[in-house]
Amino acid sequence: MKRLALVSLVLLVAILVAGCQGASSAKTIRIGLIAPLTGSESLFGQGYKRGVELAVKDINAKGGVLGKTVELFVEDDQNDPNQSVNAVQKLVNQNKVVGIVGAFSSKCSIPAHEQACALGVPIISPTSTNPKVTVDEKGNHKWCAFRATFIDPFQGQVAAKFAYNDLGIRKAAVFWDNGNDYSKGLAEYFINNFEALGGLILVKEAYSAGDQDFSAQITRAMQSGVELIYLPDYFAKVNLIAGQARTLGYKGKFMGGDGWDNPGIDKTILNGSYYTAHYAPEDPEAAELVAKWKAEYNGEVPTGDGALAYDAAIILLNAIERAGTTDGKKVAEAMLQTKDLRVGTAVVSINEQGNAVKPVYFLQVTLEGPKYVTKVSP
Amino acid sequence: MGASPASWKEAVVIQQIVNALMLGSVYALIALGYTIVYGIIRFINFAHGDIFMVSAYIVFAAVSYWKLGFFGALVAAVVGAVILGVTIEKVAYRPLRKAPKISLLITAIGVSLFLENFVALPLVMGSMPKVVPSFIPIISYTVGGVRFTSAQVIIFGLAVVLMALLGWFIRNTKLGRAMRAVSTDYMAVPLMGLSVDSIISSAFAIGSGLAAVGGLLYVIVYPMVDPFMGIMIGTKAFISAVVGGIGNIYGAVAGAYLIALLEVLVVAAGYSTWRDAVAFGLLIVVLLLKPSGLFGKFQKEKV
Amino acid sequence: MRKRTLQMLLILLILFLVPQLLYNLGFISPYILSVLMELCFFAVSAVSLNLVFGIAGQFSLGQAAFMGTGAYVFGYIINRSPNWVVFVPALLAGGLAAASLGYLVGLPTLRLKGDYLGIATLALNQIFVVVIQNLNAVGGARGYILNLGQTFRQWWLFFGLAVISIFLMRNVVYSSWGRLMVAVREDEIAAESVGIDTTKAKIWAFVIGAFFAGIAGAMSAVYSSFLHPSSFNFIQSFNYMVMVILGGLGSLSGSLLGAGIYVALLEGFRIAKDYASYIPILGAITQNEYRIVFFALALILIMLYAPKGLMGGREFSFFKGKELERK
Repeated sequence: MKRLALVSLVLLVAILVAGCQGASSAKTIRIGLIAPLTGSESLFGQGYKRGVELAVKDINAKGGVLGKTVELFVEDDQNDPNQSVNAVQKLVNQNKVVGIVGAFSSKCSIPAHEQACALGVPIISPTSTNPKVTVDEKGNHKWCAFRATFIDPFQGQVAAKFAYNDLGIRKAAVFWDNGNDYSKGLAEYFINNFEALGGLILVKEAYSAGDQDFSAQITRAMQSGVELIYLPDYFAKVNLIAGQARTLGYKGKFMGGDGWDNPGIDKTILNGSYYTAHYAPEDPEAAELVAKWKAEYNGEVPTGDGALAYDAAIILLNAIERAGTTDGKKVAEAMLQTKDLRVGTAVVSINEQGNAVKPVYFLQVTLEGPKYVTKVSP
Repeated sequence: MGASPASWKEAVVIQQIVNALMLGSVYALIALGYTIVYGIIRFINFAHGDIFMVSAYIVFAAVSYWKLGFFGALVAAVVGAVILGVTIEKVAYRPLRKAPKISLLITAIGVSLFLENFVALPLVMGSMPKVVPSFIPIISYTVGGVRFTSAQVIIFGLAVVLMALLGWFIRNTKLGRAMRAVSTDYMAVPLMGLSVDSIISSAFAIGSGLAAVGGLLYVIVYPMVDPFMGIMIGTKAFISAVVGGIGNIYGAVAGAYLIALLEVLVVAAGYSTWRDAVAFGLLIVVLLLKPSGLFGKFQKEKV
Repeated sequence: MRKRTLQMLLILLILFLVPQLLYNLGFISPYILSVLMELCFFAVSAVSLNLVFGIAGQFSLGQAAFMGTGAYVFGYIINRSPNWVVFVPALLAGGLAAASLGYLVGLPTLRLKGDYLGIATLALNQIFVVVIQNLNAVGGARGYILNLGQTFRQWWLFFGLAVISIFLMRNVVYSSWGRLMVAVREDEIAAESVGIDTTKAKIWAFVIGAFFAGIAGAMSAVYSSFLHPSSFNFIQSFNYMVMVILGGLGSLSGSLLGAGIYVALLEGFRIAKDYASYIPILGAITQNEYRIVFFALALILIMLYAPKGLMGGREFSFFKGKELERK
């Protein structure tokens, strides 16, 4: 009984201490960020954190929002859907944030956005590209959910057209990570659009996240004589697959999506390959952001994730400013009406489904770094 | 997505077998670490895959920061991994020697999580994968339509030599015999005047050293390191050890090549989505048909 | 007996009302209540795993697959029409589906012993994940969205389900079945020689454990209103094993404590870091990035300090049945 009393007492005190809600200060505007800062996707979380911190710094340097300083609260979700829910709950109920940037992957953004809507706080994901993040099962916009970029179907469609028309590819192979919703989604949209154009996808191969050896898939692709391998995955896996393909003697092209957009992409192996991205550092429109980023982070060029997180925070803060209040509904309405807003990477508007209307950028991997090729506006 | 008949040409099959030999060699080197430790203290060291990861990082550091060559990187990785493995055993596992085995397993999970997330800290290595510059010349050969590289030859050769050495060591040296003694009867060993602690330490040292060689060979073919790379490779190697009969070093090697061959063939046949399911399915089938693994000795329970 | 029952009811009432009242009075935020809901399904899952492993001695590393089965079946049914009439049947269907899987899996694999059983169940767990990834009816790798809104996301519901489930499992342990299971754990050959059908006892333990794991899975589906195969992989199975061992193998009430510590370590860090951010050095090493490092260190330290778990094999006194005093 004594042990029980002790445990209950400790529990009670812990709950009370934890429960002491941070004093809701009227002096600052509080926003939150949810990102995977631990675990295997933490490199993307790092980019998010830098992007949003820079955006907050910029806005504060210009006098803040509604005349107040912006204060940022960051929470880790380990790229786990349940923890994203906890993070939303914590940010809204403990830290009293009035808007959230996040989460990273669609599997986390979907439940996080659901929870934020229930709690009455607008939320914007920088790079979750699954359409379902911002719309319900009937395709109607969930009032509080937004994203700072385009969705997979658009990216897949533009990529397929580019491959078929501009590169003249007729026979292609697609490899994707079967456990990763982003990779699988993009692969599906690319395949559908490429086949609709009259092209042939001769090899469709799925793998799982831990796979390190792709020689069997590559050998199959080479046997069927494909001219292009489409690799919609994050750069680390792409480096491995492409490296093995070249070692095995594959001479054709590679192409990929926004997951390639990282300084870690292997410039030697993938030299000359094209990929779609959320932004292009060389695009004159992004020059200001790139300069700011370099000044802040030891001369590094912003990653796609970082740049989009910057955009997302700007879209959110701008909506609060225009709404003239921190009321969730009014901020969401203002966000939905975002029109021709200058963010870090481009000038964007938000469409009726909560998605940012912005171009898909084509970049080419070169030994000197990514080269901006063209952009395709919707 | 079924196999087209054309993709089953002889050369293709041989090509896939060459690929499997390389993958299997890496699995085997790591599987040996699991099996040696398990053979002695009946404990699945779940942090073993992360020792492999740390050694791959040491190779990365040796090659890109300290500008060492193949042998320098090899020595650095092996020494680093051995120190790490022995330290972990001493700090985290030894105090629990008399505790239930499951407590050890939980501690191992803790160690594994710690290593992964510690390496991933921004102030340590960061979570961004690092590209390992190539540090041996890679030459491709084509023999009868089958391509293979000098790296593959080195990997396979080195793995086979090491495994043969280990087999000799276990059979013919005093320490090797002592290890077998511990695995047969844990309680009798102190009675024979042998120190259990030092035998267990050496098992961890050997296992970690082999994992380090595995790490080195791995980055030759897959030149990228990240803090979470040990999880899946470790799991596959572990399955290999069990399929072969955990505790049996020849079994671990056979299991590793079997799993690698099977995986490669499943993908070659066009069922890549089911690759993991097949590996795990094989594991279950083997366990059900022969619970002690393909080469394991079945120990009858004494009444 | 009556005194014990009253004591237990009183404790339950306090456990339910204190958070509810603190919440209503505005002392704790809905976040804490939400975390307590998560704790409820962690606890059900941990106790059910403890029933299989701690009581019946069957080493299972496939807990997440049983939870996943419960979660997906529950989700598939309730998604047709999310209302209270469907809720209970859907919940039971989830539990029964998981129990059936437990039976199908248990039948062949329970011949295996110790680590080999653990490895076989781990393998089955991964096969389950691959199957779900390829099952497009429930979203495959893209995940399965449940349109449940916040209807079922209620503290009383989570608390009630947890209490009922844990109470039922406790009664199993203190019933004659429980004694059979303990006999099998302690010495299978001896149990067999006195005429106990050990296979049956093991399968029953597995089926009952899987049933409640399925219920816990369904609760997790309500919690986030979204299901993803990666939430049910073998890494998650390890997490439940961690809770069981932290609390103490064989101690059902210890599993409650284990689940509590697990949640407190992960979620407590969020709050601790907010306070620590005002302190110079401590603030720097309690950034989000350090969360799992601290969690792992705490895990190792607890195991070194209490190798048999915090409760050893004992139970909290209020939790014990009068019939059986186990060693």
